[in-house]
Amino acid sequence: MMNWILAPMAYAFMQRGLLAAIMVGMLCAVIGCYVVLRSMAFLGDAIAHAILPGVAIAYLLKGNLTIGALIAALAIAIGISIFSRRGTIKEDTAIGILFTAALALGIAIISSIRTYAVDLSHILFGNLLGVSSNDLILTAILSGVILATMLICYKPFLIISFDPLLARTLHLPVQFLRSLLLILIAVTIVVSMQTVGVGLVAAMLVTPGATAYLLTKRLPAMMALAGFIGSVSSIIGLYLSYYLNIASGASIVLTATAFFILTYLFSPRRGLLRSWFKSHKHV
Amino acid sequence: MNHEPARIDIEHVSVSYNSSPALEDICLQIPHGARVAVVGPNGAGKSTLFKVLVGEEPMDSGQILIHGRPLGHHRDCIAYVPQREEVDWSFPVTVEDVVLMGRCRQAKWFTKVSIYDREVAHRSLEQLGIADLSASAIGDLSGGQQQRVFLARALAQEPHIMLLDEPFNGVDAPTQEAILNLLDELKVRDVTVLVSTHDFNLAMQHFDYAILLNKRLIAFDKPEKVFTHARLQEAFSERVMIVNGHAIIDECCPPAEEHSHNRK
Repeated sequence: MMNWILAPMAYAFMQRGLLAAIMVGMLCAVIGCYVVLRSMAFLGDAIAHAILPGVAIAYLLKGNLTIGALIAALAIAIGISIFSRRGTIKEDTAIGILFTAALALGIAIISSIRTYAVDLSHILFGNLLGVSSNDLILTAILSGVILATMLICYKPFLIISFDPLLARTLHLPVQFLRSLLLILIAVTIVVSMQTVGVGLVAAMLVTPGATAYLLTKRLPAMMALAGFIGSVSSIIGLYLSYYLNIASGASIVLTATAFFILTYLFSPRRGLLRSWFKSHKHV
Repeated sequence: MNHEPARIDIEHVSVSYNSSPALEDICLQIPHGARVAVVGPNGAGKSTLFKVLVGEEPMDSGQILIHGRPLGHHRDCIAYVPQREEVDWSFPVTVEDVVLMGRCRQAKWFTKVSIYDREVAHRSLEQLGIADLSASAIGDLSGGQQQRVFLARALAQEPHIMLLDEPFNGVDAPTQEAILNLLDELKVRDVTVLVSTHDFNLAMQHFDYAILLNKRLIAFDKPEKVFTHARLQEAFSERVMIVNGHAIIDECCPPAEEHSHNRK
């Protein structure tokens, strides 16, 4: 058993991959609590796909892919928050148009590159085993900045998510806070690109948060538990990927989904079994 | 205390949604510390009026002055209690969390919740008679308790002006009692209170002034002068019935919902 756990760690790339997966799993899950509570799952997915052209252009220019993605993500986050302010078309329509257009642009650029299939699959589904030490440092710094910002802005983020009208009567800068939260989510998605890829990052944002939601009654507890579930899913997923020889991003997401299904059935607070028992007790 | 004109001035305010008018040319001066009932049928613009007052709904024209200064000036302190249906009750917060949100002013974002804030929150919960529920999740409460949580939060904001949107709708008797007690307490504290309601009998008994609204301002005066049969008829049109000299409003069935109501 010990050997089973230690064997993959003999490789430096596995160690780096595991560290990156744990950090990203936790980060996504914690900020994902806002994605769950504010019903932004679609938006998160959209931002994830919209960074593709940024990555592609950076690749063509032989620049840093993460920085290319970061620029694209910030552009799309700001674009969406401007779009959603003026109610000329519905927000989800605006997002649908923007993100598919960006995705198409990204594919158009990438398809002009010769090693098209391999590169695209790394971006879409992650390349955890290709994490360099520099990537690891960048991931750690960005994660630290995002978590620190969330801690500092805990109260105002809670208030704009629960009751935007209260935020207004308290004279909080609602629009600024909303954009800031969107930017934090966008940066998180960029950080996750290498571990789970843009195709699956929405799952890491939403699934652990939704699982924790079923088990807790306060936001701090929900965030802590989500972070724990996110990192544990990453660890288990990575081992499964090593031994079953499947893509790491997919196995991490499937592990997180398994946790969710179990919780959905057996949660003592809001589980399916509990409500089933409740409704049959009185019959 | 201060020498500013202490009141709400609403001057020629008009609001519309997609070019259909919601409020038309409203002019009002509400004195400081008054308890005002805002009465009108569904869709009369009661909620819109409140949302304009908190700066959530933009005005087409007109202006609002609070303590003689334009809306949004940082000295205005307005607490707004939304209708119960507008709140996400599945949100993972406890009663105390919600009340403490009312203590989060601009300059205090990132500071920890102080002991004083907790005391104010606790006193507000006690005032509403729900101090024992402070650790409960808001989703586990009854409707009346939920309403009282938001009233406690508004109280914890220590506002000059409090806006309550349909607080009497579908609440139990103890909650109605708690709200009426709160109105007395706010009178002592010199807080201006606007309460929207369908129930003009309640408005008659417990308020200093009444606003009768149906997109236009029909009347603003002492309640006994506002609720005349003619004016009620003007506001509520055919849904007012006069029984033994008392006006009664057939309020359960707005025309559009009549059909589904009959089927029950």
